[in-house]
Amino acid sequence: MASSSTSVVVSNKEKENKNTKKVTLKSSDGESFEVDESVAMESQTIKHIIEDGHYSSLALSLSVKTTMASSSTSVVVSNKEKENKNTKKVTLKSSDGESFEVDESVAMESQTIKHIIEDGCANNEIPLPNVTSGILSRVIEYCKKHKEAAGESEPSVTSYTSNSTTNPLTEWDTEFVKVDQNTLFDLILAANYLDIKGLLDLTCKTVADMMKGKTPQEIRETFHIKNDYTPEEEAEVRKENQWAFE
Amino acid sequence: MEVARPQQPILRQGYLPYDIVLNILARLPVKSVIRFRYISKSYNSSITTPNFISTHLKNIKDSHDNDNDNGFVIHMPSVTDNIGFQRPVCTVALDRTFDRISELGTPFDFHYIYTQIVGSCNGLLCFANSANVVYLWNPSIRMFKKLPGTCLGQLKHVTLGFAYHPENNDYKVVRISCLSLSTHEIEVYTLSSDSWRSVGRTTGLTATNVMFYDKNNPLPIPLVNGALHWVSNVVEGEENRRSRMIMAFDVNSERFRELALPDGSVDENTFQTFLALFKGKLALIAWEPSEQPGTQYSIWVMKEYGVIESWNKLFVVPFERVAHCIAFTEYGSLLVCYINDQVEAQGFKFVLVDTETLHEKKDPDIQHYSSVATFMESLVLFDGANVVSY
Repeated sequence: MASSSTSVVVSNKEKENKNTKKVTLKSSDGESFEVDESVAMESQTIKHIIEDGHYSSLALSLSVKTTMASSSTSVVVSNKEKENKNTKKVTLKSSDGESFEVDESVAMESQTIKHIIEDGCANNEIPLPNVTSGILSRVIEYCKKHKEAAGESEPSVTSYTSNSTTNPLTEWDTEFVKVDQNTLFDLILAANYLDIKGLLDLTCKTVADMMKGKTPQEIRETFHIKNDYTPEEEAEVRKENQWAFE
Repeated sequence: MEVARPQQPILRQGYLPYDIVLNILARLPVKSVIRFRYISKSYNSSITTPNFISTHLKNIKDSHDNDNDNGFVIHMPSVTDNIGFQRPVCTVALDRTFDRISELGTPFDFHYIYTQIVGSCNGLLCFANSANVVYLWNPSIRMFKKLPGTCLGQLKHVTLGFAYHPENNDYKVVRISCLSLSTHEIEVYTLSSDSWRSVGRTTGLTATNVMFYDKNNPLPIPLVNGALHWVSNVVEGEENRRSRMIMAFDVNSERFRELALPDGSVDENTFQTFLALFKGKLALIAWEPSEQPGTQYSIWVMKEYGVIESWNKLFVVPFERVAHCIAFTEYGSLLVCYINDQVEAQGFKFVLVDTETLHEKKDPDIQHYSSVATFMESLVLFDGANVVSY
């Protein structure tokens, strides 16, 4: 209860003050650390001191040695940074003009989008002229699901695996790719363009599994491959590897 | 190698670009990939490049990592009792149980009685016979290659090792020929050059005189951390003190380094020692007397490569009868055979023991004194020169 009320106080304070209020913490061996008041208030002790008004306008003396103070300060600061980062959103715009607002961390499952954001080129919207809205919504669904499962603030690096004990999303992934061939191919193209390794592995493996029993002619039709062998050449190659066709 | 890429519109409905189709092909089983040769000329060219073969191999290994139960072995009778029988039949089996999956006839003739599987790397097998004829064979693509003859003068008391050389994406066969005690010649064959090259005998060593290199029969010489390992007898110092040592031949530098055996693992009572791989680490198998009637196998594993103190005796497997070690699989199953002298009339009796649980499988599906190696599918040798297809 105490910590949640702390954060409520902190966020209210942030909204009130445009210039964040600072306090200075002074350790027992004389070193001073200036931090945002909201950050300092992660410490209940300091919070009470501030609320009770029992401090000078500049400094609080703490009976904590320098190293301890700086380490706890930096921990507090980075927690706050993580909190703020999580809520950042980015807008993706499909080729047919539809906009999708997603958490930045989810969007960064795509290496392509990650680079655009890191290069500072993402103003308001990131246009994706190669991806339709239907496909983009599915891709976002995949990224959200996998990001949740990874549960970290860094983009998940799990690639598609077929063993359900190492990948808890195996069942979900299997359902996800139960789509018609055109959609599957479009997902491959999108995963390739957006550079999402897990999705590319999953969709390519699905198509590979579909290919296993097919005849060469069926394979040519699926991938629109032109047969450039003459009949004699074709017979020659087939003879060399006759066993593979049995 | 430049490959003509057909022009394909990328964004047209239902069209996948050439590179993506290759990405998909690289995930197919070997037989399906072979069928793709016949789809179009450009795909035929693309799937026979070293790059494609490596990607395909990586995909196979990744799917193995996720699927711990399905490893395979291949075994071949080492000794033919039928003199006219020149083409041994190999059996592919599950490595945990030795349950038979399929049989493969060797596609080449071995004219002498004793044959062995020298080693297995990435689906490519190396075979040799007692006449020093060596073959490389990939059964999954039905291609093999006979190696040229030795570049050394005479070959005597030969031991062979087979290795993958990752720095060059190449394969090497190492042959040590023992002309006399302490006189050895070493030659290396590389697949990329398709030739043997002598590398001398004291490469990398200073004061040590190697008396002999243990052949490790019938186990293949293990490849660990990029080196092939032989147990050797060495003579050191002015007193000509003899001791046993492991000689490790680094496949990249082509130099030997020494590794000590574990303390107390081998003494004058030890019957035999073997080197093997256990879950990717170097293992020493010592066949020795036991306190109970019978004999036992002690299995030591070097937990941290190169660190002598990390040798650990992990398992002891006791046997009531004389049990000859035939194989030690990568996941720790010991295959032994009893030579029937009293109980049954003739032949061999095999037992497969899981060294961790000591669970025994009586009468696994193997009948002959055999050479056993790991087996996997791959396209390795698909792009090879002077290769025979059958």
